[in-house]
Amino acid sequence: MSPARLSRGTILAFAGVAPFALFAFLFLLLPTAKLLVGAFQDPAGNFTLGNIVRLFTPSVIASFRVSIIISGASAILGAAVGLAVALALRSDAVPRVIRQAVLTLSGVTSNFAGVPLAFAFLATLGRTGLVTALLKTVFGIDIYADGFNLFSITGLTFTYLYFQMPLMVLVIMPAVEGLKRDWAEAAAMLGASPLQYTLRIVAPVLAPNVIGAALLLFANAFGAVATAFALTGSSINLVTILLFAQIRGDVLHDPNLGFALALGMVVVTGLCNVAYLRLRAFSDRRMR
Amino acid sequence: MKGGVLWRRIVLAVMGIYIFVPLIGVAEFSLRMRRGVYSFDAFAEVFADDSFQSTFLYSSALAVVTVLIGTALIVPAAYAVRLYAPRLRIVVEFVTLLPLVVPAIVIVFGYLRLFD
Repeated sequence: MSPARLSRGTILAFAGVAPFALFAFLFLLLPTAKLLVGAFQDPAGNFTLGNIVRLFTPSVIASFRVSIIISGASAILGAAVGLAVALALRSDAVPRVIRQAVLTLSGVTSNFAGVPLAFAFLATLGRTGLVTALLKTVFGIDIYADGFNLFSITGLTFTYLYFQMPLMVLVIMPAVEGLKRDWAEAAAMLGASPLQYTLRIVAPVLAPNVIGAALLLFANAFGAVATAFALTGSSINLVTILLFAQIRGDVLHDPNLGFALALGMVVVTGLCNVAYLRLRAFSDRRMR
Repeated sequence: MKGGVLWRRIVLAVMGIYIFVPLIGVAEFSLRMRRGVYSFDAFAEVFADDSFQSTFLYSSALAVVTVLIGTALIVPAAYAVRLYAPRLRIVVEFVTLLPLVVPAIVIVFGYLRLFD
């Protein structure tokens, strides 16, 4: 196209998109591409599959396992509670003010992660935390004597739940609101009990959204690092903590293994996100 | 549907407790600097600390700058795509979803290897 024939629209489109495109290229696409390439290179820059092969060493596999357990548990529990909250909010029985308050609070707390969250849980469920102390003095229950430990996989899962539950509420709310009131009325008119309505109508309609949202929660927890590091240091061996340690110093004694580690993480979170988007597109088509 | 009221209240109460108790916990903890009594000593000390003031200012400035840059980049792009280049929409959407796929720690690793 010659410059003279460039329409005003084309110029405006270019002016609007170009800065964003340049930024995305430099700070998003280029580093990601660098990781993909680096994962298949030896330190001299030659092609190799050795980094990928070395991902399958026991310590790396163990870190993926722990990451998957914590992310999976917090995603499933968070999805269950978040879905229940979203369903509870969808009713005339709940005042508008409360609904709005819960949604706003969810927006804030789903971003409450990292060092502040770790500290809040330390002050609450740590050895001298508020709830730990209350349970001991008021009810005589010593949760640490009973096997609870905040600095464990279980403790970390509870901590992650703090941002997973509200995230689920935000992600699933639109789908829950898509449930048509007519369906409940039609089902009731035909003699269905509330339980039957829930199992035969609500469950199948929401299933793709719920599974998709749970995958999104999983990816969210899988990429988290600051919360775990602030709470447990490096005593819990997550993939993100291993990568963090690799950034601070070459703990793997193998700089290119870091690339492979990063690639492995992107594969996991990428699969989750692709599945989430496909499930969402599927239910959007069906709802129309 | 009166029977639905109870479970709704329970569910919302559980979430409310989970959200608020850690906040109360950290607030209570912040008052426990002096042994045996509640005090605002920790706050007084923090606010008097020069390094706290400078790090707090630095964090705030960083937050403001990222919001400004983000807005300056995204608003024109979204506007231009919507009005003049609807075919770019799918590409821009893909790019904006990338941060969900590539965790922050991974992208930082990429920056260090690329720009350091």
